[in-house]
Amino acid sequence: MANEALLTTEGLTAGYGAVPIVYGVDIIARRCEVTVIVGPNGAGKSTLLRAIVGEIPVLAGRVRLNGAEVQGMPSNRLVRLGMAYVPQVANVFPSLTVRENLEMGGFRRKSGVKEKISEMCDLFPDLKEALKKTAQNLSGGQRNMLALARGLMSDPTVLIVDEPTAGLSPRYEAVVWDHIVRVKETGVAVIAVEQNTRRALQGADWAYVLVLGRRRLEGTGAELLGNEEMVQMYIGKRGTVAAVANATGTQEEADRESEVGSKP
Amino acid sequence: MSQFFETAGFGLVTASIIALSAVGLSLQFGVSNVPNFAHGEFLTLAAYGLYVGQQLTGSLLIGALIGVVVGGIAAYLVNLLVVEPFVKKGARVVVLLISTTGVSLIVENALGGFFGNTNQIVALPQPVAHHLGPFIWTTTDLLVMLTAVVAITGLYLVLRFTKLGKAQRAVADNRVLARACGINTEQVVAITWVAAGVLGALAGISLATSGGSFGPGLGFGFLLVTFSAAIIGGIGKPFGALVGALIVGLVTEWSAFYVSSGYKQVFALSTLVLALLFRPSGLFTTLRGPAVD
Ligand SMILES: Nc1ncnc2c1ncn2[C@@H]1O[C@H](COP(=O)(O)OP(=O)(O)OP(=O)(O)O)[C@@H](O)[C@H]1O
Ligand SMILES: [Mg+2]
Repeated sequence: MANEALLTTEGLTAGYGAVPIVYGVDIIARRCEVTVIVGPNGAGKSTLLRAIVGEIPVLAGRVRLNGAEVQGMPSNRLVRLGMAYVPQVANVFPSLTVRENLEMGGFRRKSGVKEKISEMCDLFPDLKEALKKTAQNLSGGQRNMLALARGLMSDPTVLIVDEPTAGLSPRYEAVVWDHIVRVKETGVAVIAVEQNTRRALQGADWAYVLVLGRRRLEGTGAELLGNEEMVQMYIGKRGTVAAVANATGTQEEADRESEVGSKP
Repeated sequence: MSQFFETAGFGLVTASIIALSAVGLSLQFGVSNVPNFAHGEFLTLAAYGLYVGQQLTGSLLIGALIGVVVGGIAAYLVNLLVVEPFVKKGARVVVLLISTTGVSLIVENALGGFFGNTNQIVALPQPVAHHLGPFIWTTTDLLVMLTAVVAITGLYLVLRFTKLGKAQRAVADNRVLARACGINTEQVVAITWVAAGVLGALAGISLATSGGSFGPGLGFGFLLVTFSAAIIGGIGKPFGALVGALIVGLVTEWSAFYVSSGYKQVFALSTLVLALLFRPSGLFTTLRGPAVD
């Protein structure tokens, strides 16, 4: 029996100004599951997330959070309803210390901010040593961990992360995914957009493929991973690069190489 | 040499007034990311608040309190009625520049129309001179400096340690992310405007009482030194503005003494130009590092 759906979109159409970037997208994110959205650069993955979290206007369709219709609601109110969002870029407050960043993540908490911060420090030991540093002085990996921890400070029921491992070394990438899996196990519905398709599909309980703003495919991570044609056709550059590189190296390496290549 | 220090003493008083005004302006710009060319009117309106309050009650202190309230309300309204509507429509900076300048002109002319363009006199007790080391200050001078120290220290403590202050800094860093943290960013911005209005009001009240009289152009005439100090300090960094104010305050008073008091504004602007030649984004560029990613 499927887990309870905590967040759904129905026919979600959104963009910047009046021009849609994503068209009629339906997704479901369930409790205790990682729902992954993959697709080529510019497919509209970040745009879809921004519309869900209330950062840009919804042109048509619905977003349901824990049963309530929330499309068009500003993001600060969605936090109170259990949503947390970790953007792809600019995902920390650079001039605030690590501790202050975490405090901001727990801004809506009535109590237990201190306890939650020490919980985050246990979860991400790197942050513990850096609590007094300003976020702009963190390494890329530490910054992404801080961004994730900041998102968790509000005890969300739905956690939405946009490319949590972009630009990270393989070691950090593994650590971050480890944490994402641990977060879902606490009863959270996680929605993750990920550049590294293979990695993402490995961690996914359910995955959607977004191409040119439309949902093209869905399935369990394993199903889509096994579908070489899907990788060839819809992951575009990455798929091709990976396939070519596969002749000389492992798939993992190929993915990472294309990752580095595609991110300036 | 003694005159050098006496002049420096005036410079510190002037710097205190500039600091109040520039710290407010810089704070408001940092948090809301909107330039406000009507900032001078917070000073002017507060001075008229002081004047009217004193006329009605006979008390300088009550007049000053009224002035502060007037400055805070004026700032709240400028944000609510002029700036926010433009920001919501995605107006460019130049539109805000023009519209806030328009507000400034309207306020100045309305005050001139209502109170007349002649100067108003602030009734002050007989000045008493205090010799402190090489400096000579009147009681008013000392009160002005004390006000600046208390107000700016208070602001520092709020920004550094309170939930509101941290939220203000968070909004200044990244408004979108602040909203995603559950912060009501519109409210934080509005509160920041009020704070800027109150600081500007303290500057206006200080300016009116140090000068003894003022007219409708009081704040507008002070805008250039305010912007100079704020920009030298790195606009958007309130505590940089403090240092900018010290520099501009001392330079203008020394220039007034050694060159001519007619050139105060010229020297303020020259200081700004010189500072920008060497540090194009202000002296305190390191306070906020490069944008993330
Ligand atoms: N702020 C914006 N204003 C206008 N158009 C935008 C904006 N941000 C993105 N776009 C456009 O929307 C389209 C989708 O961009 P989006 O960032 O959602 O893609 P993505 O799938 O997240 O890509 P990536 O893998 O590079 O992160 C692109 O064509 C992009 O140029
Ligand atoms: Mg993206």
